[in-house]
Amino acid sequence: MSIIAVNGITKTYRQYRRFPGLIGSVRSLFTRQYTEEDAVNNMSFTINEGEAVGYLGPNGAGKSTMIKMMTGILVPTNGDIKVLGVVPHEARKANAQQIGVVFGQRSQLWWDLPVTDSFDLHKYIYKIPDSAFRKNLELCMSLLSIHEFVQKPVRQLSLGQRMRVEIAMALLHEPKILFLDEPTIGLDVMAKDQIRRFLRTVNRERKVTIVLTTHDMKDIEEICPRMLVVNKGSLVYDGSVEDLRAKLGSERKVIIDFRVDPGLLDIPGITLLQDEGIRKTFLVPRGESTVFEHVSRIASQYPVEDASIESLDIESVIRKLYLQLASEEQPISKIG
Amino acid sequence: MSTYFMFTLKAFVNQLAFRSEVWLRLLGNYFAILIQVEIWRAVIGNGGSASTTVEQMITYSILNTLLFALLLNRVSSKVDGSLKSGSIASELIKPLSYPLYLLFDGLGQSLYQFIFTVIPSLILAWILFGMLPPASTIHFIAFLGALLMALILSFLLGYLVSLLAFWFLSHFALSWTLGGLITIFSGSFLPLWFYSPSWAAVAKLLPFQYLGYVPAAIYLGNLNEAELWRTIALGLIWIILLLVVAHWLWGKAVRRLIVQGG
Amino acid sequence: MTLLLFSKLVRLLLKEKMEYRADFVLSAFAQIISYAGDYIVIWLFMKQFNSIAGWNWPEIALLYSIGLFTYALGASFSFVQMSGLEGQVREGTFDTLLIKPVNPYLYLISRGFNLAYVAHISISGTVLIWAIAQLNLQWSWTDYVYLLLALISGAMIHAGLLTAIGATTFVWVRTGYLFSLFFQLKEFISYPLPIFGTVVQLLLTVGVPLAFVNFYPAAFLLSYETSLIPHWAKWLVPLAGPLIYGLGYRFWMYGANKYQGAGG
Repeated sequence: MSIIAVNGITKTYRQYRRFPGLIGSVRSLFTRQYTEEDAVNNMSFTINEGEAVGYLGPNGAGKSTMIKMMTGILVPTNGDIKVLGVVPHEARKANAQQIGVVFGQRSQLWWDLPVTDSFDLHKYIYKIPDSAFRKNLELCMSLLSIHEFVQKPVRQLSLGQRMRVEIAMALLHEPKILFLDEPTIGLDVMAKDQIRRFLRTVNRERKVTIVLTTHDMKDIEEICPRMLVVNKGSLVYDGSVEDLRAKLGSERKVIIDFRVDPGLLDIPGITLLQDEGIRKTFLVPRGESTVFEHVSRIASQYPVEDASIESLDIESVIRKLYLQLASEEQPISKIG
Repeated sequence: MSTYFMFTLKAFVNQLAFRSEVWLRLLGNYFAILIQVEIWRAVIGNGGSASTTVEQMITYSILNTLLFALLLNRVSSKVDGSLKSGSIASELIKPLSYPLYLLFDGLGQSLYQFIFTVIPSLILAWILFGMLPPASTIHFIAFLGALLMALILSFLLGYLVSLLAFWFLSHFALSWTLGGLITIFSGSFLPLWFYSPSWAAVAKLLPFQYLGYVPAAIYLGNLNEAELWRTIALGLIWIILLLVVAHWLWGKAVRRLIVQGG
Repeated sequence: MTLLLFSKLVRLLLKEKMEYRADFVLSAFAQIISYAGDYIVIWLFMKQFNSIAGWNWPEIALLYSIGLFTYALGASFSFVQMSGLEGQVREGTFDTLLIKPVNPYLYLISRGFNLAYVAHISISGTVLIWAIAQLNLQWSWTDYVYLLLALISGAMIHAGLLTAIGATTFVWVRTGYLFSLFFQLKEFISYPLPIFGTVVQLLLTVGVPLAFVNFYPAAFLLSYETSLIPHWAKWLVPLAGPLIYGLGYRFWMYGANKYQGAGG
């Protein structure tokens, strides 16, 4: 059952122009001109109950804009959007009661007061019954190990601790959907890990639908079986991480250690990625000849000590996708 | 020195971003002057009081309203901002004198105000309300000198407040207090010659009069030659005194900042 | 937005303020000095000229105090909230308001409810009581009721105007100077309206109706002539507050909707 249905959504921003120079400054006193830009362009997708979806794309791809429309903060210029059966900005309050939102860079906590006060206020804002509040709070606090600093003022917390609190708070009113806008930005590896584990648990065990934007591919790999990739306001990929890898990651990285440096090698169809003298890294496509055939052909001509074959990591796959998009300006066919 | 003029230029250019507010500023100054003009018309009327005419008071009000736009009264909030954001540390490690940087930055804003607010307001006020010419060439030159003293003293007072905020940690309270003292003793609305004798005597000893009363009174020729020199001399003494105190406090403040780790 | 939530917010705000107790007290003290400065200059002025447009010092003190008292009351629900809106919109923290299941306006003003106006209120309240005592007025209880209604209405006028200015944030982004303009306009009502020309009187009665804050109520209470409002309309004056506040609120909500349409 679809819990979020986005159908042909477009969001257009107006940007006012400033005129440069001194004459321009006088001109600005009299006129205002603007340009229009589509942050989100004719976007459609659906998300089912219980899914965990990563929403990613390069800076300025319209990720935050889409999140803001799904959470009812912004009104789309065109198109339909339904979250839990209602139009978010029309039934903003009802929608807000059903969703949890975490902004990685915008704290909702009371800076000078202990963490408990922020939790407490949340209870009043969302009118959470005592028993549910206590139960949810206890669960989140123990899973995210918040107990140790719950009495400290927020200003004394580390970024990772603060983010744990933000996420816990967003779940206290038992939302059906949790939106997270870059929840792991600026955090250290340990903090990221804990948050990912927690979100996975929330999604798998408590069946909370998760939509998150991120720049960190590990977030996607560990939390989200499905990802939506957007570029310049359009959806360019919708499917699983594995499928994208299969589609784009067909090349293999081959690292060969030679006995002696063979110098510059020019093998048709193979790209030299890195040259460290006797160790060279190649990018080998899988086509008519297999990767193994390529390697053995090299080994027959030059003395090879060792060779290893690696598949591309997801980071490289995504980078390749963006590069491809930049050069073609044409979306690849959608999968799934 | 050219480095510091660059700060002036930079502050000026930064202000250009707010140029759409020029109209609003003009309107604001017009209101401020209009209120004072109407008050003086109401109490002095067309006959004038024993010593002062309405025209003099109108000129006095215009000069003071516009002078206020020029004063360097954003110094302390700028320092407060750097203190709170912690950027003061990076400003201190630059091979520059921080106080001089603040001064020239403030002058840039004043320059902007002068060109985009004061000049147009002056023309507007002159057309709408009429303004008396300076009492004499000598008075006009002395007036320009007094303007310079007003700029310097406003900077020093703001700077002192920002230094004191290193200890009291409440820039807000200090700047409101300074504002209150300026309201009472600057004479920028009510000239000191209308103060009751005891209040006037106190005000004439303090530095705040240079931010309002002194330049306008010199312009109008309300100070005789002896008073003029005495006032300028006292102003210079205040400048030197505040400079010494500021220098001393600055040294302590930097040390305090280093000890506390910024 | 329930009363329960509001009281919870105020309790947290108090707790927050108490984290910086010394600062709070110092600031309140400094504000009292600053406003005492205004009173002193007006007092020195009145000492010299005895009256302005027929109003003597205690009457001017009454007029000024109603203006300051109502400002403080109204601004505690509007000024910091509305002037801070610019930064909130720029930094995107305003969005966090829109994801709560509450009225964003009510939440904003309650969250920013400013206790610091206690300084303004204490100094203007003290002078107000002093002025009433000094004037030796033979007031009936209806006059006291009228004063009370006027105070509430005046606070609502201030809050309504500040709210309307805050609403322009959603359109113009930079609004700092509009607030300065408001404060400059507010200076007009520190003095009896008749000293100004007809244009200004009309402006402050119809355009930016600040004259309803203190001048009209004070004039009726002190039996002064008011050229623009007839005497029979005396009891209509306290209606200005709810009207202006309502309009300001509507305009703000309109602006917030526009923001949702246009985006940050």
